[in-house]
Amino acid sequence: MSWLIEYADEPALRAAATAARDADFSILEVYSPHELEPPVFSRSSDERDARRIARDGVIAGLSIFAIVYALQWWSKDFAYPFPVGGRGPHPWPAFILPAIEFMMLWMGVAGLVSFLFRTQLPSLSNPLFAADGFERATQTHFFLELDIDENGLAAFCGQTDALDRTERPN
Amino acid sequence: MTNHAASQWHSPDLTPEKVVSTVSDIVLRPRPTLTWRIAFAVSFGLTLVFVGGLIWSFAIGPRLWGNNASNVWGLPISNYVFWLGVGHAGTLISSLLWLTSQRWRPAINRFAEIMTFVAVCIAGLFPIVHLGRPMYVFWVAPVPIHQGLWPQWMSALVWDFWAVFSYLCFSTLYLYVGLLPDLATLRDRARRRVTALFYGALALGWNGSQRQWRLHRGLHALMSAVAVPLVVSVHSIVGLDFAASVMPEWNSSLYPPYFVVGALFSGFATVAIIGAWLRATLHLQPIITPAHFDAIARVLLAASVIMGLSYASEWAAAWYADDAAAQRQLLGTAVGEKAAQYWIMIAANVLIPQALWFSSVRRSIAAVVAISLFIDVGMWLERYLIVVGALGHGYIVSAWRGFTPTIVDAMLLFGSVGFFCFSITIIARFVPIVSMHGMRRLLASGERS
Repeated sequence: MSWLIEYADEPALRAAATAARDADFSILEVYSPHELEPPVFSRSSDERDARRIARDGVIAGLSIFAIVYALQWWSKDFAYPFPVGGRGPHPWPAFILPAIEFMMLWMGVAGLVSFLFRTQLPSLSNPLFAADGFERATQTHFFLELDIDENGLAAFCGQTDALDRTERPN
Repeated sequence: MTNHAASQWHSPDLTPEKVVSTVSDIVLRPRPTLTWRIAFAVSFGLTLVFVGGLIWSFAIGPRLWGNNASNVWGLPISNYVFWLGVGHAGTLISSLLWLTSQRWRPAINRFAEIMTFVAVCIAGLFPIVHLGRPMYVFWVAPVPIHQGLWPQWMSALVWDFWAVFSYLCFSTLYLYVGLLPDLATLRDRARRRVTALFYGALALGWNGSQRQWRLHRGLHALMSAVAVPLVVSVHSIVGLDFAASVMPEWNSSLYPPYFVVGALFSGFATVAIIGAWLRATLHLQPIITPAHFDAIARVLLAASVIMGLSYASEWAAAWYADDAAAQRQLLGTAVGEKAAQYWIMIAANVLIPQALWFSSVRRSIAAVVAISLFIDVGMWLERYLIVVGALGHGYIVSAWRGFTPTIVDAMLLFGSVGFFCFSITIIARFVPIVSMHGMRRLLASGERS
């Protein structure tokens, strides 16, 4: 059974997470109003996916660079050859500038798309939002999501300065 | 890091609860404050002037401006370069401070990014107005026109379009990515259902899980790393609009870095002005402290020294290269009909900022804002002198022309300042003007230490 346990501040949350590990309870997730550095618990998939966002951005950026460069070359030298001012074919220094600008834009766009895909956002009707008091997770309070039975829950909350607890809605 | 060092970036009694209530109440309060309403009324009046100037220009055409056969760019392009410069600082400040983990970032990065968004939008209007026939603006986009002709890829003006378009889109995304957690805070604090739905849709379902924060950090790292070269490249390309031409003084490799530093200079000055304005009108004194103005002032001081060196380099290059046209151009500006503007520019951009060597001046918000106002005036004059000086006095002496701004030029210039203030005022009512999650993290790091 999964429970959301609420804490007033980051030190209380970290102490609770340590107690949960010591008691062999599984930490399923942590919800906080700001980024916790270092993370409260390590999960290799988070680190891997964070790196993949950068990778996706770089791959998309390089692809767009090639596409924009090719578009310029094709349109200038093949689609409508229009030699003006004594300029020769394939003026690569000129082609690089728009290609680089668009590459950087698309690195950002692809990074955002990758972020949304990996965090499964948008998720406007997440059952979590129905949990009592969960709106405080984006303001000032901290929530620890534990896989714990009801008997252990009361003792755990008592020893870790928990403010409140609620069953995670599914 | 001691508590004292951490708390110089906020008032000692600031708490996470106070950050959330102060910042979110600006947005969620049903009735805006009196100071906000005054700012709205004044800036709206100036915006009407801007709209009037635009409608007049679109209806009659460029003959309403001071432009002539030689000074073909005139004030619209001076304004464009100035606003783009202002716009370049926000994303650069935000990304550089993020990459270097600066503790003074969370108080200023949000309104600096908003400043970028607004300033680049205004900058983008001016080349369209300047076209005279704005319906053909799509000719610079990679779409073949009806004859099958594509854009001239070797033109600096086409590079400019791609650069500014990319920068505007990227800066908007960068702003939005940083906003996501704060939009969720607004969603969860909203008292009215329609407000909660509005911010809920914008927040995309953010719940603050550790996984979301970790991936958000990964995305922010990527975007910040891309933003720095993007900003530098975009204003370098604006510099190439000039450097790639054959006008005296313009055809110089100095221009791209000169424009980048100038953009940073005017942008930081504008951040100081906006910061002081928002601090006073939205009661953000516990969040934006004199230490922030001290930090901004140090950057302004460094940039003013580089600007002074750049101005000196122009003179040195003209004489070292024995370039008669450039020498004539520089002398004509410094002792000719535009001498007053030139020396005001030197005073505003180089001499007056030297007062920032004194810590008492840097710690005085009024003094930093006053110097920043001088810098913005000086940087606008610099853009004006660059555009009007060289074009009016090129290599063909018989084509020399003076330039006298008209009432419509003035309407577009001062009206754009009003529109800028109006946009910031409006956005401050809909978007958290300070990064709440950044401030909470700053406070938490102070507690840990």
